[in-house]
Amino acid sequence: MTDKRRHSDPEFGGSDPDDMLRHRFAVLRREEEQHAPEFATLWKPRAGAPRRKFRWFAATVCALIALLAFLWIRSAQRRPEEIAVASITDWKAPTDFLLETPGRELLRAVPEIGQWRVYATTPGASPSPAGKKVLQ
Amino acid sequence: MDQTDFRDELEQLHSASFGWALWCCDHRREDAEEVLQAAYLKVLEGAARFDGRSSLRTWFFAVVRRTAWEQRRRRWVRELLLARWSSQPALLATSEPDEALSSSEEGHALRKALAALPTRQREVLHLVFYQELTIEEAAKVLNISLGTARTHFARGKARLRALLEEEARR
Repeated sequence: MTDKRRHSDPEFGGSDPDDMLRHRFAVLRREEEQHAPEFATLWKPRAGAPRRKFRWFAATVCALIALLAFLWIRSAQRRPEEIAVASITDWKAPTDFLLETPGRELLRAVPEIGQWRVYATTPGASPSPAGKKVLQ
Repeated sequence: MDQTDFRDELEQLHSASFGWALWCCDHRREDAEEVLQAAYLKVLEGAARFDGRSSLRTWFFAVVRRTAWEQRRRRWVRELLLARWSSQPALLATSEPDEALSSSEEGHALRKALAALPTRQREVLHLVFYQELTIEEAAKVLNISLGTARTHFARGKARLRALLEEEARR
């Protein structure tokens, strides 16, 4: 944008108060520009390329760390499957046999007419042949 | 654009870029030089590429501003970590603004008044009045919408005028 346009542009501010500000900024700019260093002192490529090598090294190390972390997390996730832990539903108390009453099988099964069934699951209990009856 | 042409263009912009870097670094000369050099390095190493979507000045000023912000953040993190390790309070303001940069009373008064403004307002005013960019270009440099830039410009201008008048009355 040319100076002429800038000064006539109402948005840019062509009014007097803006000119005052513009003038003050111009003074400041002139003062500060005197202290600007030489372009050539700042425009120079970095000596060698150690930084670029370092970047590659850092990227490789990061990738390795990420890979190791991934493998470790995966192995940690597998571990519960491998460890054999008795399920609570399979567990039986050692005193469970005390709850077993003789003849409880009779209550669980429907007797069939004309057939004998021997209920001898209760330890120590044997079916007495005298007790066998044919249900008519 | 040819590399040599590009270099020449940046060389022409150099003093304006230094002025902008100074403002981005709160007038700390050493920091401004460091930031400007880092911005040039970005250009040289291809980390910052000019794609021609805006003017070279707008683009490079945005690079300088981003570089200044990165440097500030790096310093802040470094000092925070150092403070934690050495269990001493962090010194966030490492150096004072360079007062020798403006010798006149007028320039000094303007800098003092601008320092009292919010950063965004100060940046817009600097880009428009000091760098002679349009508000639209300033919005591009600051990566804000045109409407926001206009608002900051109007508010900043009014506040700056009031501060300068107040200073003049003293």
